Amino acid sequence: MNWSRLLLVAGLGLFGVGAVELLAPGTVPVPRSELLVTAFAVVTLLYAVVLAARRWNRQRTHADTPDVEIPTPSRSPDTDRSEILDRFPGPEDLYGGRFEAPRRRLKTAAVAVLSRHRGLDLSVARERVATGGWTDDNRAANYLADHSEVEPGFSIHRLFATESARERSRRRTVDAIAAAAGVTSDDADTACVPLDGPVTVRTGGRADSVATQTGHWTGVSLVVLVCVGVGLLAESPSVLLGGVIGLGYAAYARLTPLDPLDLSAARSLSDTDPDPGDTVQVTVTLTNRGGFCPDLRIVDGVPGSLAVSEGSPRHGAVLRAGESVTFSYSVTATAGAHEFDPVLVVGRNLSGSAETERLVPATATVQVVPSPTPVQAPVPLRRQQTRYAGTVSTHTGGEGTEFHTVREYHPGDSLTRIDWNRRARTGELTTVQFRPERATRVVLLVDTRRSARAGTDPAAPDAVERSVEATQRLFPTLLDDGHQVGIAAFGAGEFYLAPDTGRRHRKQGRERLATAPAFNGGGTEARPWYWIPRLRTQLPADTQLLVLSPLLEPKTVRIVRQLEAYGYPTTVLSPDPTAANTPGRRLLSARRRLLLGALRSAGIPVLDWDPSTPLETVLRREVTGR
Amino acid sequence: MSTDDPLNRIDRAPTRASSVLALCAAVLTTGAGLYSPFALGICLLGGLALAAGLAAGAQRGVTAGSGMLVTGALAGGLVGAPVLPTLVGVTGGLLALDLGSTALTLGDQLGRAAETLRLEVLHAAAGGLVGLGLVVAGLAVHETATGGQPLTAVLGLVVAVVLLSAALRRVSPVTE
Repeated sequence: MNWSRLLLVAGLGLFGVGAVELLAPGTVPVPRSELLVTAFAVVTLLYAVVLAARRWNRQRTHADTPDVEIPTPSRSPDTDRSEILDRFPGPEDLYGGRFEAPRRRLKTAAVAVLSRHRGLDLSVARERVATGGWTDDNRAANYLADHSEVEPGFSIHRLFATESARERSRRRTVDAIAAAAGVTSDDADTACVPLDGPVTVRTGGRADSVATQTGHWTGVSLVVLVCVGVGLLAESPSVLLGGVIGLGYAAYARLTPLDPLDLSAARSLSDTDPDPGDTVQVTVTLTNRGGFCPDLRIVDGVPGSLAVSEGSPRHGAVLRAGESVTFSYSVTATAGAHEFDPVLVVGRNLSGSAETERLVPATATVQVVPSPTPVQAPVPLRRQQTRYAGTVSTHTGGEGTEFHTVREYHPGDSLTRIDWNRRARTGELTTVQFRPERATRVVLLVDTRRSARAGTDPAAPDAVERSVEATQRLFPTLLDDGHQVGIAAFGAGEFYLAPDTGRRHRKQGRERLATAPAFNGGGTEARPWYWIPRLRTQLPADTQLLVLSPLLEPKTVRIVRQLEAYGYPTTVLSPDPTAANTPGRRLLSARRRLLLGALRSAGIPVLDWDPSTPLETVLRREVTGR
Repeated sequence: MSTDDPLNRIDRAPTRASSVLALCAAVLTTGAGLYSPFALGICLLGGLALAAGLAAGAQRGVTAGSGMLVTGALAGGLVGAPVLPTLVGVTGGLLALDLGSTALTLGDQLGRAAETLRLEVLHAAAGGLVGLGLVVAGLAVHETATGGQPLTAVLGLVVAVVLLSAALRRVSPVTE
């Protein structure tokens, strides 16, 4: 026999005795004593105090529900300034020292930036940093100078400062380095972007539906004890009877049962194959196959890549046995394959004192294949030729439209190519050579690694999304120009579409870009030593690469240079995911600029693609700049 | 609230229906506290705390507010309010706790945009009916006991109440 049974039996017994005594006074031989009453009241109040102290920190709990309405936000790469500095390319090589003190690392970064962006000699740059003549900001200059001055002593300002003097110096130094790299701060934007670490999105939903107590009625037993104690001491029947209310609610909280949920769900979509931007109506039906459910809180599993545009994917329902509830909402279709998650149901008992969670399976998939508009600008490819006629001019002379060289006449040269003017002037027989225009073989290599999933702010598309969108538009353009075009994933996911031409290839590329897991946040992440050799066995020999990568990491730069060295002429289109609203982000932006510069100095064309600039402008700028 | 959020997440503020019902319960208790200015003062403060807790979405405010409402009703009983207003007052205070907490959890789990009215009405009706039954039971006990009122009987009943309350604390609504 356990405690609660014992208490229950004792309580009921005493209740009976009390009732008997009430109806026939004097039946039970209990001593009539005021002292006994007072003592009992005091004991009850003491019990109440103990209970209150024990319950003081006990929180009410309830199941968390995920933020299903919004698409998974982009990671804003700004988290750790020291981590950015760790992998800051040093002035001599691409890797800064890893275990150096912050001040030394900042110094290295400053020298690297000065030598790259101001074109200074390394020794000059070092000296500028050592003497402090590299920036207008005295505090920053002082901090990195060899004989940095001692911090000023006591001041009112420092008393109220939220950051330490050293931290302030470091922040100012970071800003000065970023400014030297040409990154201007836009603090005006700061207000709308959370600065403390990454934006968190709530998650929730457990498959193992363990029933838990919510603590919804915490404090009711306290009311009972206080009523009884105070009522007895003050001899007030109204207060004493207040305990009945408390006891009643305590019983209500404890005795309403929570039965296990037995539910089934079905989901129907108004359109399973919409175009991007279309509105798809989702209708969810939940059927109760078990007993009465007085309190069901339903959250539909909207895919993390879709945003709810109208209505709510959440519903509160009361379901009798066998009853169903139907609710609907709309999502806006974006390119990609989107699979719905199970429906999360949080069930409570009538009094709300207990809660259980359940994930009810319901499958549905939306496949959105965009029909991209080809890029209305020439794509800057490297000069290279294949056997096929095309649009890329080559370095060798031959037939074509653009003048290349003049050479002496060989028998067999076409009459149309003889320089008749010169023949008339000098009597020499010469042949004009043109640049033959040839098609190339291009593979669009999209960086889909997790590190590339970064955006300027949480609501903006991340670099992978922008890269995939650009690939969708570049792919048909390059095909239209007569090139053989292929697509591959850079680093993550097993995805390779061999270069080819033709209508079927065009359709295949479009569809697979939209639906392949590698481009939709899925796929496995492979190590470079694994995927680069694999890619090389797949790539035909004379292929050039167009790499789409945010170039956030020094490692990426090394991989691109490696690919170029293997004999694939490489061009990089780099969607810029860095923002300039915190010192950390500015530092990252400065680091990215150094990486871009490192690639350019290795002879690899890099197109820096700012989110606010249309792709056409970036391409045209590059072509005219050549 | 949502204007600061770049992602435009849903509004997880307490649901409207339950909040309004919780405030109604607070008004009920305050009405029952009209017997004494002291009790009325505590009830008004409790109602304010409850309203603030609901506006800010803070459980602490709701708990404190309901506690003050119950205290106000008991204070009224101490200074001589009749049994019925006291019982109604305590019921109102506990209902305010129930409905206010429901508004908070529902708001947090489903948000304001979701349709939750049926669920809220059922919950409030169940809590209200239980309260009504308890007030009637309390009055019945009072009416029966008005006669002789032997102290031993009262003591026996009261000890029984405390023991039952302790026993209830060990009962779990969760079926294994």
